[in-house]
Amino acid sequence: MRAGGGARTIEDFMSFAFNDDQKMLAESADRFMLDDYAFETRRKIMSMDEGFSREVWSQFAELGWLALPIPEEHGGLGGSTVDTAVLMECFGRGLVVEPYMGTVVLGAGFVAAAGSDAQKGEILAGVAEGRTLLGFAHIEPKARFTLSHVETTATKDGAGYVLNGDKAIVHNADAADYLIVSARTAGATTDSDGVTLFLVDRKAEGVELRSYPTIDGLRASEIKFSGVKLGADAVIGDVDGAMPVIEAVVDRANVLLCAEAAGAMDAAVKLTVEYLKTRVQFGRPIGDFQVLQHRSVEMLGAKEYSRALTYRAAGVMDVANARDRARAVSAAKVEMGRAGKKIGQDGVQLHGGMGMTEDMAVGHYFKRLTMIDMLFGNTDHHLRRFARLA
Amino acid sequence: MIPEMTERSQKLRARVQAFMDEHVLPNEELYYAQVEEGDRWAEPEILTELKAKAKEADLWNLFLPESDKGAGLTNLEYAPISEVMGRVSFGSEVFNCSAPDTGNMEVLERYASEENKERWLKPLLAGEIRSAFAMTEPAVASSDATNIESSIARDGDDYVINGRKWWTSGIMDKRCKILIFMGKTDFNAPKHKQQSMILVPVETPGITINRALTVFGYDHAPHGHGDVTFKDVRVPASNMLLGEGRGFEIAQGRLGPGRIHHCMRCIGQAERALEQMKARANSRTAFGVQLSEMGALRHKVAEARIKIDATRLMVLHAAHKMDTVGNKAARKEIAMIKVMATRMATEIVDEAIQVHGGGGVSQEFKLARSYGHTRVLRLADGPDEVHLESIAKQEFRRND
Repeated sequence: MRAGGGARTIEDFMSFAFNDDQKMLAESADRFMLDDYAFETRRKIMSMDEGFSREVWSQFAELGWLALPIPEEHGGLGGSTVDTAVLMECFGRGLVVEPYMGTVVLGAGFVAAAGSDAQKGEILAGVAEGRTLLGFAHIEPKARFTLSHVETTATKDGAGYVLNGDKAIVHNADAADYLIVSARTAGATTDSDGVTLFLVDRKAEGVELRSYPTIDGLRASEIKFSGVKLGADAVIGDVDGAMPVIEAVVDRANVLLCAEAAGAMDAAVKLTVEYLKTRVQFGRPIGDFQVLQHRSVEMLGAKEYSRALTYRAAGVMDVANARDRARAVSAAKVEMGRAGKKIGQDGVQLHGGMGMTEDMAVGHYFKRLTMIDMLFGNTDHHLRRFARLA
Repeated sequence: MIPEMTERSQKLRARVQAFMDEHVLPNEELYYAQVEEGDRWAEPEILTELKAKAKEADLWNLFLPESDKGAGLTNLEYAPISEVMGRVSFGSEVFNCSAPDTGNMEVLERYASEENKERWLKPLLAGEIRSAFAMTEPAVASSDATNIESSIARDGDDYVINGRKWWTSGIMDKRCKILIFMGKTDFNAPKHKQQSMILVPVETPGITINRALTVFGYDHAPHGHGDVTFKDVRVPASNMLLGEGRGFEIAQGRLGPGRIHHCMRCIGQAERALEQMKARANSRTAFGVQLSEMGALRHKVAEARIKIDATRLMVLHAAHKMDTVGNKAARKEIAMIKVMATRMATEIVDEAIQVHGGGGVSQEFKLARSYGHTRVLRLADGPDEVHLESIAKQEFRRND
């Protein structure tokens, strides 16, 4: 796997042709979805205890997918954001429920970006090989979409810290070996300065989970940290200086969520068009009706438009300065939110009553697209952020 | 809830409709031709004829709530009549029911001295002269009325006026003799007491019409929209309406009914556009299919019907509320209909243009002209944003 997506400037990225490695990756991932992750298979996986399949996870490891964005010196493949986006798009098409975002993109992303050599050594190879699962405990019940809103505290206790607070919507926390937790070590609730990241053993004393399924078929938890004792070596990166890292890693996660959404939208559009061709009502396939043709074209247009913005953002992620990166990400997330809503809703509507059932995949895509919009800032939030960065 | 339309309203509406069918519609093209061929700022001959006929038929000043001068109708009763007139761009003027004159006449009726009423209201009611309302200014965002910069300064027995106005609609018309001018008499007073309204005869020295503004290229002659400079324009103190600092008070009083008329005229324009859309669809074939058989077009027609009917009901509801609980209590509904009707009409006329293909943007079908009229109403008499803000404010105040 060649490192880097090839793009150096926004202009370089005007054409979105995948390179050969990316094409191969997409082909093999899509084939996996077809052969080993069909709709019925996914249903069974979702009903497993952890809500995902450890066996599928090992297969991901074997295929090198878990190693994809991890730096080469730590057992990874050093893939670019575009490379990872290609894979995420396939995951979106397949409605994958395995904890790739939490473990590989977020968790490993933080350790790779800011971890000490010891932390990188301990965590990254484990992730790449499928042995270690991670969760990102950052969102808080009152934070809404404000990334710097952190009320959880880490108070100095000798050389170490004591962690107290509540975190929300931590995906697959109950399966995680470690949690990457943000806590305030200085400053007021929404101050950018004064946030620190910690590596916490999920099984440590004082870590209490309340787990639940989410509407898109995934699992998440609310976590209560009560007097959790941490050593000085639990700190990831600089004390008080975690926000820039959080912003960078979350920006990248957002682009990859958009890529996943692009895949989901692609599948939803294809399913819908197929349905229009085969469903007969009023004496003909309903795809004969002009208004439905127009609607499906509008869905396709929305998908293409948002996908283009997504890959543009993916392309600049590894090279742009923070402001350009943030603008590209927010633009992608804005349009993905809009397109996802349109395609999800229209996809269900065009399937008629059946679109509302669990039996048809289109509704699952709709739910996944809705949740993606809600994670790390919805359309309105990113529109405001984009405007502020103008 | 809207009560059943009264018999007198239904009868009057039928008579106005008949008049429109017999006299106005057959002469619509002639009117526009006369504007182009003659002195464009003079009253076209056909309009003079039509007005005489309307007066004779006792279809005159129907907007006035007093039965001796007008028809004595409530806002609700008059609304459907406004719609009928509004189907033609100059329709209301035939019956002396057009803007800004109706609003100005109401202001004069309520707030002018007897002497000024005799001098200005009487000929306006007779349709002998026209009027204009000078408020908006090019230098400031006039949708926030407190931004107005023109000054009205007391000087002995006179007031001296200085300022620059634009979108002074009606001033280009040669028959326009009187302006109601809004400006600040006291720049230091509390914000809502700074402004006054004063009568300014058009022939007063110091008034220069800089140019006629256009709406998407249409100058709306003979009515026109003037860009006007006022330099040391001197008028007697007795021209002050109601009193110094009471400009906002007058504005609040005058605004309600006019909005109903604008909205109903928009509905008239939208209904006409929809009729044209259907006629066109029935008479054109493309790709082997009659346009009216194409699903996408049929849905557009259905959506247009939904929008028009919903808007009409809302406007009638607002009119009824004004009649029963007053303009102030109905201010939310009045704001709502202003947004709804202008937006709906603009959308439907736009769709009608699209259905007409290239012809839609030309002079051929009058849809382009109609688009200008409806689109400008999203800005005139308060832009959408101001009304939306007003509605939001009232929503957040509700105790539910």
